[in-house]
Order: sequence, then structure tokens, then C-alpha cells
Amino acid sequence: MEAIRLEQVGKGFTLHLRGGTALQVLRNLSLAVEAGECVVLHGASGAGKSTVLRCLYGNYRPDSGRVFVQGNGALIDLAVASPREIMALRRSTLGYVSQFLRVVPRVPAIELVMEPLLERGMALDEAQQRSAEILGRLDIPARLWDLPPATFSGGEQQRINIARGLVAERPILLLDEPTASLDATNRAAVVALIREAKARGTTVVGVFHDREVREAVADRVLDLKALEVVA
Amino acid sequence: MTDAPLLRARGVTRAFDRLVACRNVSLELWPGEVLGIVGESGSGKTTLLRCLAGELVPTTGTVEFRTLENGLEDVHRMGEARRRFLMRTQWGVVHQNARDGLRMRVSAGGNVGERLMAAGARHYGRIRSEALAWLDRVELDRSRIDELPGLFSGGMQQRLQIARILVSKPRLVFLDEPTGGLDVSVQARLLDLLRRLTRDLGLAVIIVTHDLGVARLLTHRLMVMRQGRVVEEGLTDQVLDDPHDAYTQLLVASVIGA
Repeated sequence: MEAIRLEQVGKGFTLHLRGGTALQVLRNLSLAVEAGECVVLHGASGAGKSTVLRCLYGNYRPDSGRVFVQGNGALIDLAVASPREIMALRRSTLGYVSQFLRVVPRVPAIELVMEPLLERGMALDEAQQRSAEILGRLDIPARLWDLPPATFSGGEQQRINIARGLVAERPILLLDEPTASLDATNRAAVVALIREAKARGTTVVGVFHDREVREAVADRVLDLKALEVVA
Repeated sequence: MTDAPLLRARGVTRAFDRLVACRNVSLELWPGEVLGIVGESGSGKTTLLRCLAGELVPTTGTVEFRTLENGLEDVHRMGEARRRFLMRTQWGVVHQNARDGLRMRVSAGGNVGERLMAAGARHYGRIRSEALAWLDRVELDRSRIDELPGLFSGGMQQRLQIARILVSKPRLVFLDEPTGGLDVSVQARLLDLLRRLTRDLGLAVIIVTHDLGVARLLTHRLMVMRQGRVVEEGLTDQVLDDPHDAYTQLLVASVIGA
């Protein structure tokens, strides 16, 4: 069964503040991902890897084409879905780890991690336990859990971001260079978490610059340029 | 989640003499949703908010609220008594200026208790203990329950307003620039509080702000207003990360770190 299907997706940006300059990032991109498969997007900087992930999360709206995602027992086209449908899909189905941690200041790290679980209605103590577990696995020392991550190192913030994205065990994971600022030990911990997610049947679409990580998780590596049909 | 919206506005237009403050705005809001209305001062945000909250009658257009008893009811065509009752029990407005939302000659506890009494509570001990519990929830020192709000700082007054509104368990809360004029540390605290409350109580919220950082962290959906019109709307992160309208792009590009 397909978990994701992009059909002839086009996405560009019109920069009104730059005299209407148009940047075409994706052209007629088609791509299908089977449920449980891990597809790694490859391509030069600017090839549109993050743009594909953002279209899959409903963060960018494509100009043309369709972005189907399997969620809540139906195939939903994110290109035309309402904000409410996208919000519901994110709660239930789509996990996304971006390159940046963007959170309410002053909120302790563990509460940031618990949030996606509480949003899905999990009881507080269970959410706390699950969050502590994943923070431990990502080697965030317990003394930091009750502190807001604003003062954490880049690598620590990135791991909080990963914990937040993975803790709810959603069926589709979108990962945008989650290991970029991590050392070898922590990279290995993230790889282990991704492989466990795959073993559970999670569909993964990701961008990983690190070759070792790519080879450890990818079922398929797709070169973005090769997928586009120039009309 | 239910299939009917809690609030539905259609074609809301409000003119003051010849000035059209907001023009043909339609929206739907569901329980648990936080909708942000952003734009510069003078864009018509507050006028729209006041029309939606029943404080200002639209020149044309309708605002309907789904009550528990009757389903969708037209907020501006119901009787005055009915509207006042709903404003005290089903929704509430947290004003930009706390002095518009608080009774300054009544103690902090009295301010919170008043809405409970308006909703029918009569037992003094119970009203006081509810008021104390809400002071705790908004992180106000309970030993100050008998003080007048004029002795509180700006941030404390905002939190007292929130306690006053939420004590009667409304289903919808309107917030007009809730973090305006507050120190950043106090802002962060208020944001965290609001986020918890919307998640834990399943409240629907409409928040007017000119601060895109606040909008990003607090809202699910966003409407961008300019000169009384909605120029762009959608999921908050979509509008902020992939703005299509020239004005939205300008707003986003002008902010530091949103």
C-alpha cells in the first residue's frame, strides 16, 4: 500500500518584495512511497529536498499537482485539504523534524517533548514517562529536562527537536537533516530510533547529508533532479 | 470533535460614518481551535473582534454562535438579555487594556467571583475557593486576593483578566493584543499559560495581535488583515513560511526572528 504519492507537483515562490522575482523549485515532481518504506531524498543544495518535505507536512502549498498522504483511513490531498484536515493529520499521522527548534520561551524541555502526546489525549504520567525515556535515549542529561532549551547547545536543541518529533510514534515521519549537528554517538542513537520506527512499520521520508546515516536507514535513495519531468 | 462550527461569521462589514473598518469578513471556528488575526494598527482587527464578540453591531453580515440549547444563534439579532447572558457565560473578551476588562474598585477575588455569580453561583465559600484556584492557575499570589487590581503590575492585571473570564468556563475567548505592553519575560509566561489552557480546556480562541512571533507560537490558523480586508489566510505556519500575498510577505520579512 502506498503511504505517500506525489503527482506532478510544482512549487515556486513569487518574491513580491524583490520586484516579483519568481523561483521555481519543483517541476512536475512525481513520487510514490510504500507504507513502511524509508526514502532518502538526495540532490544538491537548492534542489528542493526541504520543499518536498514541507509540501508533505502541509507547510508549503504546491502550485500544481497533488500531494496524497494516507491518514485516518483515507488518502488526503494536502494540496487542497483544509487547515482543519491538515491539523488533524498532523496530530494523528505526520511527524516532522525540522532543522530548527521553535518553541514558547520558558517552557521546560520535557514539557516540549510531552506536548504532542498530550495533544493526542495521553494521560500526563504516561506522557511524562515516554518523554523521559526518549530524552534518556538521546543522551539529554536528566538535570536539563526541567530547563527551557533556549540556553542549550545546538546539538542538545536538535535532540529535543528529534524527541518531540518521534515521541508520538506517528505512522509517517518527515525528517529534515535531523543529525546535522550531532556527534557520532548521538547520531547512532538517532539512527537506532529511526530503525525502530521502521520496524514498527513507520514510513520515513528524510534528508540526510551524512552518508553513514543514509546508508543505515535508506531503503531507497532518490535523486530529486532525476524525478522531475521538464515540461 | 464535532462537525458544526462554534462560531460562524459571514460577510461581516462594519463602517464608521464613511470609514469602512472591516469589509466582508467570513470565518468559521471550531472548538479547540486558536485563530490569530494579524495586521498593522488600523487594519480593522479590533473592530472585527468586537463584531465577533457581540460588542459592536456589524453594518452588514451575520455572526452566529452555537449555543448548547439552540445550535447556531445570531449574536446580533438575539435579545439584549440573551446576548449579555451568553457574554457572561459562553464567551469572554480579554481586553488589551486591563482597565477595560477589570473592575478597578473591586478586589482581585471579587473580579474573579463576579462572573461566577453572574452565571448563578451563590455560595460565598465556594466562590472564594474557585477564585483562589484560578489565581493559582494564572500564577497570581493567592495572598493578594483582597487587593485592588490597581496595585497589580500590567502582566498581573492581564492574568487577572484571564482568570476572571475563564472561571465561568466559557467555550470561546477573545484576546485583544494580550501581550501588548508587557515585558518579554512576562509575555513568555502568559503565552505558556494560554497554550496550556487552550490545550487542557479545549477552548476556542480568537486572538488579535500585531506580533507574528506570538501568532506563530499560539495560533493554529491565521488571518492577515490590511485596510479592513482579509488578504491571506490559512494554517499559521503555512501563512508565515509560505506567504503568497505581497503584504504578508512584507510583514513576515519585517519581523526579527518570527
